[in-house]
Amino acid sequence: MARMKFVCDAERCIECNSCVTACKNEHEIPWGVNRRRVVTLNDGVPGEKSISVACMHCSDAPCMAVCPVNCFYRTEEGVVLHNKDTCIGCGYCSYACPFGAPQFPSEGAFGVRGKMDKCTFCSGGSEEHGSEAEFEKYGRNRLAEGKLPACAEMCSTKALLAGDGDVVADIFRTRVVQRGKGAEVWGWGTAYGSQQAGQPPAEQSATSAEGKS
Amino acid sequence: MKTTCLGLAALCVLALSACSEPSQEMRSDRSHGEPEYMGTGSNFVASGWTQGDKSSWASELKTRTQRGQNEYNKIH
Repeated sequence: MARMKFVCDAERCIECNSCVTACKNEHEIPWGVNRRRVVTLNDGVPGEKSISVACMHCSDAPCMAVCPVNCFYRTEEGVVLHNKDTCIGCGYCSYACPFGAPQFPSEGAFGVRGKMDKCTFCSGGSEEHGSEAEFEKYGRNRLAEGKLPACAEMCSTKALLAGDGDVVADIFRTRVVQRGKGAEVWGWGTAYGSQQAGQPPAEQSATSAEGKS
Repeated sequence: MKTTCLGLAALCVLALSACSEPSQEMRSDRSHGEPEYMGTGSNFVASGWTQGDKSSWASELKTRTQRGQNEYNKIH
């Protein structure tokens, strides 16, 4: 059973924003709404890292839990979607989401805040697959066309991976093994609380110390 | 003896069924249309799978992920 997931490789992302552009173009997203964004941490500081963020299609999605009208649903492929016919644009999901995925167009049925819009993993919504109504409300349905999300397919460095969780995890694991990095990899300390996090490998620091002396 | 064997086999099948994964689907009472593998019915779909066939759809997506996103396949 496929379980669709995104993974962004912070060691590869070069903040080119091609994922953002691909998404906006593919779904003709209105001005002011960004289903995907590139976030840079420690911007301008040597060693800055960027990651591409959108809806992560959580297995236990907080947006689903807080929605007062129960407009969210999870598909057979594990994609979290919402029904715009039911959405009342209250914004609770926006507060609940840890990734800032729910977006609200400034023009809509409710004056200053329209119905929520978010990443659909390029799998459309609750309309007939490939129909005009589906495109108008949710964007293109690439999954039903046998394709992967446009953002991942357009990523120039293949930092952003999308697809079946097992396959994506295998690709990422291969990369990590090839790099041969351990606790010095970015984010390790956050994930595992390592003391060595963010420090260069022992050999590298010894070489640079020799070079200085 | 035969009954015991059959009983054991049934027990094994029952025990193995616990290893399967429950469905990820979570829906409200509204119908949300057909699953993705049913396709769009148009000609503008990726070649290599049959619309409506779940296994060929899953296999096409896996192939596409490996071909398009795993460059280690190209260099090794």
